[in-house]
Amino acid sequence: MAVFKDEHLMLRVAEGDLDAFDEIVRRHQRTAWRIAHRFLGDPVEAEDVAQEAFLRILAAAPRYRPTATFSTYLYRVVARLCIDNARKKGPVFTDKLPETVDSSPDPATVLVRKDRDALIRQLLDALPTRQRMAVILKYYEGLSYGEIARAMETTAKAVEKLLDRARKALRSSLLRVEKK
Amino acid sequence: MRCEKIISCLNAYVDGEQPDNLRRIMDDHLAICGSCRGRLEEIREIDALFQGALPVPPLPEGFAARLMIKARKRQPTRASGRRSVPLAWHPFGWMAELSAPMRLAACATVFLALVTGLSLAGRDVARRNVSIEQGKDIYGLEWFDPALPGSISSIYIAMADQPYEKGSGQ
Repeated sequence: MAVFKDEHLMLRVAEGDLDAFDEIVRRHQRTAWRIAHRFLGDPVEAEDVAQEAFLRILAAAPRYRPTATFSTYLYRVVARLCIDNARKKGPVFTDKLPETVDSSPDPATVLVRKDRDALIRQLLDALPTRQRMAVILKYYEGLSYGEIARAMETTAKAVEKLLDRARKALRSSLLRVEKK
Repeated sequence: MRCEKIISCLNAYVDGEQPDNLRRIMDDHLAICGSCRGRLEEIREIDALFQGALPVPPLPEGFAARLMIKARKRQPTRASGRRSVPLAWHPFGWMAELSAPMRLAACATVFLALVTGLSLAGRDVARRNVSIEQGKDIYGLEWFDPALPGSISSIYIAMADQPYEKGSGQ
């Protein structure tokens, strides 16, 4: 049985072939879910956003042009929806971070004594939305600056700045936790 | 290279985004500059925090099935299993979208229009065979008798029959 590339499947989706769309979903649903869940932190919201991303892709299929890989296109749609969703909810303030009695200056040592995942969740939620998305695409999806730039509709230099600011903000938040 | 420049490039250095020649320059500087090395370690500590952190739960059961239900609601006329082909270039491609009874009705309409047109054209041909005298009686048309020689009418007719020549003063 022939295996069609994503871009070929999308051209069939543009013609109204829902079987092709079903195949696209099955190939990429975990990616959309993974990004949405790491960004939003809530499974219900993550499922809504991931499904909405595919529905937006379906609606825009007649205008789809394979100028980039489908994965890049998917990242772009998911990233945009995640950021829009988070902006509606508003920022999370770092004062809500849990306290620690450890006086070690080393952030890694501090985190050994606390729930690392919960703390990282709160650190990420405290980041501005675009910094948060850049961190997730870099650390967890392993994308290059160029790939992140295409997903976030910006430049590689801007991505470098986003990651620089995010790392400084994360370190600052961790040191604030340590000093409490 | 100055420390200020090195520090501004540390993120790209850690992320492997540097071209080889610049990377070698930074390697050489970091080997001798403790301050820049300290900033590099700060970045690496933050990166290390995220290694293996934030595990994602499995994809919810039925994710694709629920999504396809929504997709079919938004596109009800394009049901699964029925492939359509690109028809924009075909003059009668629109007929492929119709059901069989509708196609029959469309063909019957076109046939009826052709028959009606041809039958009406036949009547026009028949009309041309009517004589002038018959035309007067049938259609009530007026027919003017030929102009008398030397009359003003004959002069006007003779002038109208002359071919027009540009610059002739006519």
